[in-house]
Amino acid sequence: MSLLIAIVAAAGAGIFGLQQEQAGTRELVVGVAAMCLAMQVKVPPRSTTYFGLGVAIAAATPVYFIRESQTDLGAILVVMGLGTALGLTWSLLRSPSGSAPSFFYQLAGMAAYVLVFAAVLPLPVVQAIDDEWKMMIPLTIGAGTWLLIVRLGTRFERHRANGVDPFNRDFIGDVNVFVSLVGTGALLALTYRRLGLWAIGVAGLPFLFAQSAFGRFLRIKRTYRQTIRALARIPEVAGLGVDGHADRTARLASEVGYDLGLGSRELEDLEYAALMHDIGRITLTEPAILRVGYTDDDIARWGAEIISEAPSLSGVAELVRKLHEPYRKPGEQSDPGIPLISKVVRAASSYDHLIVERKLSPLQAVEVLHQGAAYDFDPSVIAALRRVLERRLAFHPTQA
Amino acid sequence: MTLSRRRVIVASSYATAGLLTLGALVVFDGRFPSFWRWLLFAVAFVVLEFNSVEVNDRLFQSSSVMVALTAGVVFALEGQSAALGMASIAALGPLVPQDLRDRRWFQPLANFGQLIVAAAVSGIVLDRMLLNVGFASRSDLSAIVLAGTVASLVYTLINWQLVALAVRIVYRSRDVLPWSQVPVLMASLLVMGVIGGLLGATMVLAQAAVTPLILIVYLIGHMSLSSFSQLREAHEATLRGFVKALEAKDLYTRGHTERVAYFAQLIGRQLHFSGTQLERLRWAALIHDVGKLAVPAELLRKKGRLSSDEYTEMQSHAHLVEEILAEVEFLQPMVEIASGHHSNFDGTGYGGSGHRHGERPSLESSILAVADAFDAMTSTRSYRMALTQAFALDELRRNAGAQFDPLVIDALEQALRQTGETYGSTNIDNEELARRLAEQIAIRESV
Repeated sequence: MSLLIAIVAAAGAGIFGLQQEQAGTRELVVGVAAMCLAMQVKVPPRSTTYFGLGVAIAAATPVYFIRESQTDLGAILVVMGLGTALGLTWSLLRSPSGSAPSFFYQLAGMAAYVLVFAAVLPLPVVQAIDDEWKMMIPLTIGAGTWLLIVRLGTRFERHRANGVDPFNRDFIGDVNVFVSLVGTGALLALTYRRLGLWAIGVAGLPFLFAQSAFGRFLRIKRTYRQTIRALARIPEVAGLGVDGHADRTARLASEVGYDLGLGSRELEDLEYAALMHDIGRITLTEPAILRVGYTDDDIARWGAEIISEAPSLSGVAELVRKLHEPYRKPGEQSDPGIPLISKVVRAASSYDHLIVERKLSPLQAVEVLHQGAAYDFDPSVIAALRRVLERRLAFHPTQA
Repeated sequence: MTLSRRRVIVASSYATAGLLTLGALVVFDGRFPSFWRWLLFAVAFVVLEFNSVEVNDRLFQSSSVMVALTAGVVFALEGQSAALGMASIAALGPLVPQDLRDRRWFQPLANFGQLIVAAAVSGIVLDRMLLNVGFASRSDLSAIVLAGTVASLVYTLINWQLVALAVRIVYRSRDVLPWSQVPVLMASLLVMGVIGGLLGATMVLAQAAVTPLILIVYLIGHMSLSSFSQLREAHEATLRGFVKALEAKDLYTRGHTERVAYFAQLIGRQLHFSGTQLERLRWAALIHDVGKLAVPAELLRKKGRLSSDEYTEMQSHAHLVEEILAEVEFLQPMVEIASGHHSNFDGTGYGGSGHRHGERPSLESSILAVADAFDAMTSTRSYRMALTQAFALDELRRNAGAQFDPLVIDALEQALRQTGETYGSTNIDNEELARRLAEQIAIRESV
């Protein structure tokens, strides 16, 4: 539904632009077609924010339709409005069920970019700058606004309970993608008049490089994830753990973490820690250990030792190490030394244990966790777990 | 000749060649480019070299070829000397913080030489090919792109050949890891050079305002290289993770996995495997025992012979590797090889998808089987002391045709002769004696 409104709004802007444009028909048709086609090309994402080649063409449009310091606002509206409307319709036809999550904010960002561009360029300070250099200022400010809107929007979409910093580490990845797209787009617009079709090579080849690099970054992420899942399987394949426990714990823990408003990096760490929280069990074949006995804390410690062999996972190792420490010291409200992630993994793992091994009903299991909430489990985590389970039960009454 | 001698010779001859080239250009050409332009490119070049990434084991690469080519095209089109400009920028290449921090002298000196030579030659190509393009216009673009492509080809080829030559002289082949990404990386660098040339033409034809955007393109080049490097690191970290987990479980496997990988590579090189095949072989060798992670530890280090039930359980590790690594996409071809490392040449034996009853195992699986057995015999186990290399080779040969591929055994023997290395004990050449000695040691330890 929101998609339809967006299409109508974009088309409206385009038609409004048609009445005032000064550019030639050919330029407009090529622009609309380029925008529509570019919107079909997705760039592999670095975080939960998606960008497409459409960003490059949209960024190029205002840069291109400026002649002798006069902004042809009509032409810009035509290309971006009609192009977006057509592009959206096309992608809707290709996959009717698919919807882009951060899509509204993309459109808002695009509109803000055009407005800022048109507002900043005529300023006397900017006009005093020589040549095409003056284009750089509205381009930078406009693109900055655009990125900010998209970023804040996608974060806002998930109502945050814990107020996570929107500019955490994965912001850098997004900036890389965005700057590459805007940069190649602007390069295309600036060089097209001088170089003709060669401009497509000048801007297109770097875009292909960026595209394949982002694809590789995605593969890197996938490889680490698959490796961790494989490591998590070892205790289960060896018969030292309950089948599927790591997987179920990870799924539940991720949902709880999402509910608590963790950022995408934290969610990633959470998933890894949940998958590997029982990896310490592979040492349970040692006869010496079996003779002496062990506690849950020992398993967590051994697991942390194994995980810390991979330098990139030292953070996750620390999370696993603190898994079985009580969430607060006696007489205090909470212990800030225990990360939220550890507490979530512990609660999710205990819940799965109660359901699968002790064969309790979800309600009974939550009851047991509540009883432990004074010492073992953080009440806020248990509350989030409860919310997640209520949602699950509402949608799948037979499962959960 | 020792390693340090070889290093001194390579470094000094490379550096001398670089200095001579630079000197010759100053004396015979001497048309220095305008300073500010030169500085812009020099800074970009140094920044990219500063951020060079390890694309393969100890092989660093940067996307500075883009800057070099942009500079060359701009200088050549503006009537200055591309050769002198490019070579003087390239002379700043060895300023890599990693080398400076570790106080290395070999890499910087060799790089200094090879970068100058590569830049000078490709600069001369640009100067010659763009001689008639006076005041450039759009119609000259195809000529400029052609010149840029040739110059990029020359630059990349000289750069890689000189680096490869230095590595070949200084290190022996065993010290260089096989790598399948070489052609992709070569092609990427070549195209980066072409883009660099195009950007040079853009700088001359369009207005100077495109400069910040050109810097963004350099950034993209750098990202592309670092994605290669990080992907490789992700693969290596995965393999390291499993090897470490295996060693944590069973001390006797310590070093076994790496040695099997080494022997497998020796055999592979002898059989003229390509870089891609060698890399597959190495990865398969590194994961060949991962299934043991799911086998009870008592069994792994049991002293004395295994009962038949225990033996079956032990054998199951060959297919457990598939169960554990099922989701790791990039290891799938290797998992098949690894799961066949206990299948016999005559089609008997056991294993997972890599083993088809009644059929010969793949050549890679056969290589793993021989390397695994060879290392098992020449290293000390919980139940047996290490045996001599001669005994191990005889034992392999005795089972050739039935358990092992005779071709692979020949290759191993030849490779060991060529490298002049010997493994295993110096005097224990009797299996019974080796077992008895191990038992005696075990008894003495338990008392």
